[in-house]
Amino acid sequence: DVRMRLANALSKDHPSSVVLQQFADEVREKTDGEVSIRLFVNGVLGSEREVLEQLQNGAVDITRVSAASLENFDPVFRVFSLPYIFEDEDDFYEKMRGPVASTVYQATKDDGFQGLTFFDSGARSFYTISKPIETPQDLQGLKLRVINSNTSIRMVELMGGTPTPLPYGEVYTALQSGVIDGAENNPTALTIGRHGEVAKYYSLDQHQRIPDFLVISNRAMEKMTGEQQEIVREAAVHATEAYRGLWDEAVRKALADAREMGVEVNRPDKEPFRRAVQPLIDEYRRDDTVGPLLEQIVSD
Amino acid sequence: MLSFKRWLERVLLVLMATMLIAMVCLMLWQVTTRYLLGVPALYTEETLRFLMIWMALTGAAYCFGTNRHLALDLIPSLLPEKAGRVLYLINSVVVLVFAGFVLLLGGWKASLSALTQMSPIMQIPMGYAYSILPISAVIIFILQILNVFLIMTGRLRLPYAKSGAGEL
Amino acid sequence: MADPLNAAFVLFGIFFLLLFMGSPIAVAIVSSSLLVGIAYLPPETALFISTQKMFSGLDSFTLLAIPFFILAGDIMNKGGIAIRLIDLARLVGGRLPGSLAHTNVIANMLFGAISGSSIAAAAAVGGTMGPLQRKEGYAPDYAAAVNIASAPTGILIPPSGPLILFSLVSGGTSISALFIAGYIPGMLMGLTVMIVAGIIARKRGYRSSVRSTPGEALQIVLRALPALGMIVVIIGGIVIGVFTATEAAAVAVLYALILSLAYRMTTPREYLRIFCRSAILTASILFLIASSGVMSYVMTIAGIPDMIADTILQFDNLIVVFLIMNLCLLVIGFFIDLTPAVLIFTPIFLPIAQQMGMDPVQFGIMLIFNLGVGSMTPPVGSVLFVGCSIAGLRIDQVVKPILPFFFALVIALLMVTYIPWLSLGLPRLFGLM
Ligand code: NA
Ligand code: NA
Repeated sequence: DVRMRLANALSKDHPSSVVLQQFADEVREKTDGEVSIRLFVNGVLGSEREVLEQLQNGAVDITRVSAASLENFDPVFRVFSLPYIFEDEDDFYEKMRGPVASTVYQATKDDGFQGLTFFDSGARSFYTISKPIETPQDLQGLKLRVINSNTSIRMVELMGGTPTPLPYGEVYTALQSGVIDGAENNPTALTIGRHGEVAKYYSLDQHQRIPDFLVISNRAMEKMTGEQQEIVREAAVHATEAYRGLWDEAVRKALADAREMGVEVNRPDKEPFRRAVQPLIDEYRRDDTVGPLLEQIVSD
Repeated sequence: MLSFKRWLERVLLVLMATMLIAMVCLMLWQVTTRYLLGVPALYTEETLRFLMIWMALTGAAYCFGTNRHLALDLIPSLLPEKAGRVLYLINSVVVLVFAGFVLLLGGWKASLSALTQMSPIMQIPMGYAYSILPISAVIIFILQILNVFLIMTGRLRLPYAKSGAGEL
Repeated sequence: MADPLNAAFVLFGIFFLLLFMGSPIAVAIVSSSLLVGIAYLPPETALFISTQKMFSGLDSFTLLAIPFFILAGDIMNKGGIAIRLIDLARLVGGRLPGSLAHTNVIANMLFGAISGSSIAAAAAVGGTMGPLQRKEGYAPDYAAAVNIASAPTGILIPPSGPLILFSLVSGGTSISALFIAGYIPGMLMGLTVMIVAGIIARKRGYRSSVRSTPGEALQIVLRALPALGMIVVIIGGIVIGVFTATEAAAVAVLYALILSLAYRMTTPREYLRIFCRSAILTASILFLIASSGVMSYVMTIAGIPDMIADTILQFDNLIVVFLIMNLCLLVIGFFIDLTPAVLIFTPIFLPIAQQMGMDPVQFGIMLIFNLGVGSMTPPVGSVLFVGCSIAGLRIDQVVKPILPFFFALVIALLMVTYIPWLSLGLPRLFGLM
């Protein structure tokens, strides 16, 4: 019998936890209970970075992590943090189901783990305390919290804002007191993270669509028979399909709830933002590790 | 031998205090660059975290040497001298096993395996940050063994406070 | 050992064995966790986890507030700031029976309002107030007990290291909301200690001898103003967005440094000593924090938190559940110091409390209040240790004098538990939640 641990940093009722439980159930059922997966939610086993290390060391077998966390383990994942490489949600799913994904699934094999499937984590957009963002000029002089990633820092710089790294847990108070003028995230940050209580403008410039990946350690893979591996792979793909509906619903609800909280939502023209970050894209096109993959994504 | 121990401890103490002062300065610099200059320094957050980790583990080694770790010495302090020495020996073995496995072996492996993992902002291999674990383990070994030797030969008093009040 | 109950017995069995043997608490935590971890994970993996958790337990920006608040507290203590606050406290508490005891409590609360650590308060205020009380004929054990029982007010009254720690472990509960929420329970704690101290003082006939003329009073207030200004700078700076709650700790260090330089009560050599002493204290606390991550990981893998949650939730009655939770925490507080207890037990009890409808902010206040009481009870308690060593007493000498305070504080704790308004009234008023 194979027993595995699956770690998810998000809460129990987050769509990803819901479908990962379904994934675990499906695997158990189809392998007649020979492969059982125990789900740990809420980040109880550690941050995404820690869990990836645990994956390399055999304490955890499967985990859902953001591509942003993976880029510190393998630079090829930086490509997903680049702004405006996907047109919209449909384009995202189309490209991610194609050869791009299978390339990156295999990319980390040397690091001890491999990809099973991807999840959409939504489009990231700016939210601010004092004014809606219509053009990149509106970002001028604004201190914007970004995630700890060089790509995100460069992106905000190119758009004209002032990137300000802060731990996620401090964003609420920092917005409230004006330490920062805004941040960027998908709409659930406004509702579940309650940032919408203080940031009253959400501008859907949709600059990034950083996918999450479900990754499994090589060791765990090797513990299973070929047939079981196939079942796991298939169940993972089913999870992605089930997730899309749940996640879209969650995003819709988050936007509606945000409006209810008094957040004004606007849709700026994306073109000027796209032009502003073009130098970053060009720079990565010349990069040896990321270039070919980027070419593949953008040219499709 | 006692003078070597004192010297090593003094070096550690100077390093710890220096790192603490550097941390205060860096944090104030972070506030200054963001609030007064309007251009937040990007490297301070990561540097501060790594400095704190290094300070804590350097300091942990110092505290093993000088018996400053928080401990409950109520029962050991009630024991007669001889039994106290035996207990000290047992406790030292526990410390050495702990340091040998968790900090030295585990830390060494973690440092090696994290060499290819980069820190998000400064792109420093995480293995460098981890390397303080085995370094501090080596110092703990030196200091703890010196302590055992000095206590067994009666050149140092048992650390279990007769007053029962922990020293802080 | 798949049974969580067995795992819990083995884990805590080894832990307490090592603890009573006099092993450093951090070593006892990691060693017992590692041994139990091996039952669930391959030895190599269990070892890796222990190492990783020790590292990542320290790898947190928010945690930086703790060394800084310790440092700021020590500078205030030695730099002439604490003594000015104590003078002010003497003015306020001067006319009540047992006035020096009240002074001690008020001074701890004032000190707490500018520092984030109860240990610093116990050392700073106790060091000055102890000798004064002895001179007036107060029993030394009584004086020490008052100091020990009131020092934890400083971790409820903001700024507060433990509340920052709680925010961190609970997954980002608003620090501002927690800070504002701490005022009333912190003052309730101080008031409770003052009532008990007053009753005892009246019985023993301790009286006050301090009388100040209006001129002297004015002078005392004026001398204390710069120190009180620190409250304005720290809380004000956070509120208007100059710095975050974590950064505020470094600003507190700067402010205390400037004031103490102005007061010229400290030599350069003493400053060096302050930095060294704070570095040592910080390191020993951080090492403990690092170690506790290993234990909570192993408990999670072994299913211990779920087991405890299921057991407690069986009662399905709000009053009973919170009563049991508080009893558990009080017992835990006897043996485990505040910092590791916050780290280990927040993930276990917070989900239960939330399930029973308690707001995380109120839970945080209740938890810190409870464990604050735990930090003054024997055999393990940082405030107890510091309070005793500053008074030159053995732990067993202060056990009896602390008892009445302990029971009174438990009543106050139950008020904080069952009256949400005490914690949530102020943050709601300021629109923080
Ligand atoms: Na305080
Ligand atoms: Na205690």
